[in-house]
Amino acid sequence: MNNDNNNDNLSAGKNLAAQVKSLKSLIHHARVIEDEVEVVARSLQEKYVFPEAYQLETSLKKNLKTMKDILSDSYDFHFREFLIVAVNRQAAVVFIEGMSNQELINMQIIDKLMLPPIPGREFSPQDEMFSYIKDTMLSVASISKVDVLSEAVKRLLAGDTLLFVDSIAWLIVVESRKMEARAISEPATEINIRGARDGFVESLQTNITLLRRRIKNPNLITKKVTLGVRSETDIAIVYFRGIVDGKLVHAVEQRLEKIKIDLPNGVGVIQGMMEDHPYSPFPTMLATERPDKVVAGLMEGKVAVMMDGAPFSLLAPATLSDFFQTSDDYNEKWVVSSLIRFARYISALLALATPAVFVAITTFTPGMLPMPLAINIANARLGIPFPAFLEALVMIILLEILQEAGIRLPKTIGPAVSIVGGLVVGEATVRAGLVSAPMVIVIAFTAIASFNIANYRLNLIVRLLRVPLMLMGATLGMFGVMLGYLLLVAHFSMIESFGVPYLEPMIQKSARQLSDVKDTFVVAPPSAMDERPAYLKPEDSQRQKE
Amino acid sequence: MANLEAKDKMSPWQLGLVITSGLLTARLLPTTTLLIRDAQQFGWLSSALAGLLFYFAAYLMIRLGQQFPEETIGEYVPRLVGKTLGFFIFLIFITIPLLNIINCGITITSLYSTFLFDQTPRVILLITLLLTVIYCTLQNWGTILRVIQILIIALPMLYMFYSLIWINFDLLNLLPLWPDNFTGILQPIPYHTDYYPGYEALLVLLPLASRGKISFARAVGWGFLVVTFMYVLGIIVLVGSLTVKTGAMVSTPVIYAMKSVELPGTFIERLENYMITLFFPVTYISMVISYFVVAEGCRKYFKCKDHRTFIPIFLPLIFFVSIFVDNPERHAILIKFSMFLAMFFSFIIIPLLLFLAWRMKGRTQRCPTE
Repeated sequence: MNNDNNNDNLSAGKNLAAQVKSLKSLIHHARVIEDEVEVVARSLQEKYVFPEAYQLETSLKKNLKTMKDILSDSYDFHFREFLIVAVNRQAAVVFIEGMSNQELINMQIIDKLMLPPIPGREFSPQDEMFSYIKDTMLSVASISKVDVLSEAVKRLLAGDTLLFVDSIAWLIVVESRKMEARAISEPATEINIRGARDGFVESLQTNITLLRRRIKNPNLITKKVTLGVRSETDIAIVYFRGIVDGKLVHAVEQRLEKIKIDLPNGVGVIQGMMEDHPYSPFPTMLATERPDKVVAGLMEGKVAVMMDGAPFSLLAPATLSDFFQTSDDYNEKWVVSSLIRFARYISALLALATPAVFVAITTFTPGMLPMPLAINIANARLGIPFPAFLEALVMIILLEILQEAGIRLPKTIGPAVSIVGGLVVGEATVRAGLVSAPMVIVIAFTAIASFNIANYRLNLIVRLLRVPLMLMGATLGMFGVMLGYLLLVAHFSMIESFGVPYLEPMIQKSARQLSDVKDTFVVAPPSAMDERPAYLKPEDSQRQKE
Repeated sequence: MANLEAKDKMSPWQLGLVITSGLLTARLLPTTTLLIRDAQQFGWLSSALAGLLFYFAAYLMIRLGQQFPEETIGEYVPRLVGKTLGFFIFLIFITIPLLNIINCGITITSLYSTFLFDQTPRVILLITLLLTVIYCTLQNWGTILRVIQILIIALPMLYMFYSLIWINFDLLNLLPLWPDNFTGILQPIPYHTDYYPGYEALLVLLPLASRGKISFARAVGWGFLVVTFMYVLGIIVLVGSLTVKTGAMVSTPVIYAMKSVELPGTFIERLENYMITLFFPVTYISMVISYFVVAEGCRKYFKCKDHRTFIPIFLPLIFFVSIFVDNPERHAILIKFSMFLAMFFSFIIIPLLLFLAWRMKGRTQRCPTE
């Protein structure tokens, strides 16, 4: 009997436990369903908004509701209702906090609109509302009447203030942009000794001002286009009318128009989508953060593309020689500049080929070296467990790691890492017998040579191509290195930038264009640079006129 | 954006540059032995005469091309001699640049195998070389032209390097000053097909050149003059530094002469290796031009849209013939065959074609209604 009772109790307990378990599972499922329902409800509420789908109404309340719908109650979106005393109408200003000048909104808009009318200039039904407000009430420099809501939203998101007035189906846009911006400072990636110290910042307007400050001429044209289907980013096409080839401007405009992208997150994205050869490692547009460089380019007949939010501008077309020029070249005596410019070309060549040639010679043709040197190298390599190629590869990888670490780390730690990497690790690897001392010298020399390349992007490409060239040297010796160079020359010859061959002006079609060479391997005296580069087909080829 | 320049057109001086750069190749290295053996101290005179003769052939080709502006040889030859004979002549024409590619490939890879490189099989070198040539030839003419214009820098560098053998120059080695064996001077002239190869390219490249202030004949003439001057001076210094006896004995006198140059206290040794390295781009240009001429000639003959179609077609032929010629005896036969074919084409076929072209033109002028 007792056993039966015990068994009943046990089974009842089991049932209860099972029920509790299923109840827990049910609760869990219910929570999941609740979360999912909430997500669905939220996604239904927060659908992508097309401002074009909305229209302006005569009712102020409805217009404000529309604005709320469009901006989805974002916390930086503000509006303030008040009465325009002079016309006896309800009104509201709408603005985005942090983008608009609130002092101007308070003092020059709200304050002025709430004042009683000027005696003798009261509002009458015959008066046109916009003219009355503009002429007698608002004391701001730039206002406009807008009757399309999508246009108004665009202006609002650019920092302007919208003024809605009850009973009218248009609104007034007051220009009140005031955004915090980084101060103009020296370009970080293009340091110069005697060149200008100002560099582009993230504000498009400031950047254009930097150009206008240098060229006080009405023929400096800045055209604005919007890019980014969702971001509506402002892009400026800048050129000098009367110098630039019209076909070039048209080509730049066309290529920008074709770009369909959510958000151009930096000029590199635009560059990648505008370039002639996106799959080539070599850039065909010159990115620079120096206004003096852009101005010089514009004066040669190039076109600049600038983007709001990016401290870099793009110059098109860009040929290989452009990547070897710096602003300092034109601020020094031409003889000195020529020497430095030539050294840059040699450095690029050495940075690219030194490890490959070293590997090729030590692996296949040590006879090309003087006997004592060949013996020294052979002695130094005794006991090294890797072939020359692997040894060089290890060192190059180490160098790349150190360079990348130096860039990414804070400025205070970066140099310390370089010292630790360069001196301590280099010394330790040689002592440990992992790499030979001559290889450390070769790689160190390569690194120093690559630092001499004026353009960072070109520097990166040289670093990239060093390894395949080394591989060719390791497999086919000097024959492979030569093959690599020939392939590179063929590739250079193939690339074009906006129809201009990449090797211009080094390679000329006729002797008449030889004067373009004055600013390639060497720098001619300023007085000799009297003509603009012919390959850009400028409308006015003369730089210096009587 | 449409290209701002006419991609496939060149100026007359560019045409001159192309023909000049195609003339100097590594092919001349083994032939120099024959030249010194036959002409002895007067190899330079033989080279000068050959330069004149080959320029004359080039001039005839220019005149022939000018009878049919905007047309290549493959297009007008059938009109002159009929379809069958025309095809035969066209076949001879494309065989000459093909042989140039093969000869260049064999010479340069042999040089590398012998002097710089003795581990990798020649086949591998040949494949990689041909692939590099193909990469360039697959581009449009504008690109190829730029490659030629940039690589031509190697030519003066090579010559300057070669000039180092002046160090061993001895005027006594050039004696006697007056030749007593004129036949010996004339005898090696045909060998100069290895010194002046590739000018047949004119028959395809002329329509790609736009007329300018300078005539084609003059532009090409300047090129021949420069190259001939380089050869004449080169052979004088070679014989002067080596002696005739040594020059006629060794297989590549130029390399041998370079080997014997010693620069005490300098960093570099074995200068011949550097010279071979410099011969590489120079020969590469000639190979690229020849391959383009073959492909472009075929494109015009078979009325195709793109010259690229014909590039893979000839690759196996070039490769297998080059591999087949794997010893000096076969190479000598190939050189001889190339020489006879080039001479036959330049000095028999071309004058005949020019004569026929003039006659056809005369007839047309007499009967303009025909």
